[in-house]
Amino acid sequence: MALRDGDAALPNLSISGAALAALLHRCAAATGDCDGLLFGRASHLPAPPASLSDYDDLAAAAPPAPALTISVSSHCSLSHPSSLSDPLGRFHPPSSSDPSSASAGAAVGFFSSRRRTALRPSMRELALAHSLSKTLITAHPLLFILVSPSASPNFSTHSYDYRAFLLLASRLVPASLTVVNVGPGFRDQYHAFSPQSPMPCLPSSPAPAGHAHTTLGESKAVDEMVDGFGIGRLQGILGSAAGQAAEMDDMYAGMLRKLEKLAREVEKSNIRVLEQENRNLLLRFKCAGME
Amino acid sequence: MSPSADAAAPVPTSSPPLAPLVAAQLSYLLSHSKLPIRVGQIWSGCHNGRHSDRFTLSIPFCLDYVHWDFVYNALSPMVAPDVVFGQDDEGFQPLVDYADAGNDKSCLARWDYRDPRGLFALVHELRELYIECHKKQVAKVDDARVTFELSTVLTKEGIEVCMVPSADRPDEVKFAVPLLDVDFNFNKLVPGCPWRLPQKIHLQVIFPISRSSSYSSVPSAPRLKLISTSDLKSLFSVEDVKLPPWSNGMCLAEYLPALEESLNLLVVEASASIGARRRFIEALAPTFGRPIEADPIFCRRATVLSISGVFTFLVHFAIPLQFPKQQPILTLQSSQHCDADGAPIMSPPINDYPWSPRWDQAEMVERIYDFLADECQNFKKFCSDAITQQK
Repeated sequence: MALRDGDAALPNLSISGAALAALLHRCAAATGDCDGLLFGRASHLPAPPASLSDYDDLAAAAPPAPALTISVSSHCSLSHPSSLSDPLGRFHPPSSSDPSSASAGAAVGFFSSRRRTALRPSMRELALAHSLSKTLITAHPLLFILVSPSASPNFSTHSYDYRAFLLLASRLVPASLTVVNVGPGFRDQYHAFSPQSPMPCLPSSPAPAGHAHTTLGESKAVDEMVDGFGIGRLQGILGSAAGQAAEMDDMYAGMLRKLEKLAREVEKSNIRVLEQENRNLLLRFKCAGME
Repeated sequence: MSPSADAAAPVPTSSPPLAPLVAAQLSYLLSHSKLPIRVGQIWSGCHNGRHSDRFTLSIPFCLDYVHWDFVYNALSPMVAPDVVFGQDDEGFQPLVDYADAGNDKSCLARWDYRDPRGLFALVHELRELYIECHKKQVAKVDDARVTFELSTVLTKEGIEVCMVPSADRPDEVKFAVPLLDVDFNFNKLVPGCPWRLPQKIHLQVIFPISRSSSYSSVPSAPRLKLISTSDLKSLFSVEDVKLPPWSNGMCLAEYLPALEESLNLLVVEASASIGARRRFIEALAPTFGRPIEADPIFCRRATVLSISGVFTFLVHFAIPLQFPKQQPILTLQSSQHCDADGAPIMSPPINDYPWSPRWDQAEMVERIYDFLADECQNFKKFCSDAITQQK
C-alpha cells in the first residue's frame, strides 16, 4: 500500500508514439552519443471520470484529484555528445543563435543517448539535470530520458532501451513513461487535448470592402497554409452560411500541394545535411587520428 | 588485489581496437598509476563499431574494487569522457558537489583531449572524492565507538572506510588501515625485485554497528584480518601472522602500534629468510650438480637433474617461506616414463624425510641426497608399475 502512495506522488509521464519514434531514430542515426532538450507540456489533468460502479462506497472513498501530467511532444538535438553541457555538466545552450536556446523555456527536460551503456544516469547527466533545473525553473520535476541504443554484431537486430527519470530531491528517480498512441485505450490523453494551431485569427464575416482591408500579415499567414488561395476566397467560405463544396475542395487541394512542396524541400535539405555530416565525420576521423 | 600482470594486458581480443587517443590515455594510466587498476570489458559506442571507446575500470577501494564505466566518444574526440558509476554508488555525485561548491579545479574543467595524462588525473581525482564521500557517510553513523575511532585514526595517511550493507545482519563499518610506514618499501628488501606496484599490508577492521540504545553494554570486538597485495605472498604470508588479542574496550589507536611493531620484525625476518634459501640452493651444486632451474629472486624453487644407474629423473625443491624451520617439499619427476597423456610421471610431494633446522646448509643437502638415494628406487618402481598398468 505504501508503494501505491509513493506512485501517486509522482507525476504521470507520457510521450506520443510519434515523438518517441522520432527520438529513438535521432539516437540511432547519430554517429556516436547525443543529447538534447525535450519539449512538451506539464498540466494538471482532471482525473478520469470514475467508471460507473455498482459499489458507490468505493467510488466515494477515492475522490478524484487532479494529477500532474508531463507529456513530451518533441525534441531538439544537435546529434552530438555533450552538446548541452560543459565537461563539468553545467548547462550551456548549444549556441546563442540556435533556435533551441530561444525556446529553452518550453523545455520539460532533456534526453541523453549512450550506445551500449548501463541505464543509470552518469556523472555528467546528474550534474546537467541539477544545472538545467536551476536554469529552466519549471513548476514540475525535471524529466530525463536515457536511451541506450545497441545493435547485434551483424546489425540484424537493433534494440532501443530507454528509461525515464525525474529529478526529485536532488536524485534522479526512475519513473514509468506511458507511450500514447491512437485508440480508445488512450482516450484520457485526448480528453485533455487543446489544439495549439497557428491558424490565423480571421474576421468571421466578409468585410464590405473586401481585398482592400487585408493586411500583408494576414495574407502571408494564409499563404503559409495554402498556396495561391487569396484571403478573399477564404473569407468567402467563412462568410457563407453553408460554404461551397467546390471552394472547400480547392482549398484542401491547395493545402496538399503546399505540403508536398514542403516535403520536397525537407528531402533536399536532408540530403545536404547528410553530405555535410559525412564531411564532418571525415574531419573528426582526422582529428581523432583514425584515418 | 590483482597481480600486476593482469593490468599489463588490457585488451581482450574480441573487441575492436581502441581509438588512438583513448588508447594513449588508458595505457598512460595503466603504466603510471601506483594503484592496481584493472581493465574489464572494452567495447564500442560508434555507429559503425569499428573503434572501441568505452571500457570498465576496476578501481581499488577499501580492500575491494569498484567498477566504473568510462564512456568516451571515438568520433567526437574533443568531448571529455563521462563516467557511469556502480549500482550502489547512487549517493556519489562529484560534479553536483563541484557545482554547489563553485569549484572548477577539476581536471575536467581544463580537459585537453590530446594530453595522455587526462584519464590518469580523472581516475585519481574521482577516487579521492569517492574516499571522502564514504568517510562522510560513515561519519553519519549513529554509533559512539565508530565516531570515536574515526576521530582518532582518520588522520592516519591512506586510511579508507566504507559501509558494508547486508541484508540479514545489521550494517557494519569497514576500515582499511595501511600498516607500516607510508614510505616503507618492500621492493628494497628484495634484491632484483620484479614488482612494478608498491606492495602494502592492510589491516581490515569490521565494526558491527550497535544501536545507540545499547550504550551501557560493552561493544563486541571487531573482526580483524590482515590483507596483503598478492605479489607480496612470495615473500611474506600474512596468513601466518598471529594477530595480538583485542581486549575489551580497546580502540584502534591503541591496537595498531603493537601490531605494527611485531609486523616489522616479521617482515625483516622474511627478508632474511631469502638469504637462507639462497644459501641452500647454492649448497645443492657440489652434491647434485648445478641446478638446471632456480628462482633467483625469492629463491622459492629449484630443480636438479639426478641419475641413479640408468634411471634419470628431476628433483623439484619447493622451499617454504619458513625455511629453515620448515623443510623443502620434494617432488620427483621421471625423464623416462610418461603416463597415458604423454606427461612425465611425478611422485607425490615428499616432506617427511629426516630434517633439522639446526643443520648447516651443506649437511641439509647431504641428508637429502642420502634420502633420495633410497627413495629413487621406490620411485623407479612406482613409474614401472604405472607403465605396466597402462598396458
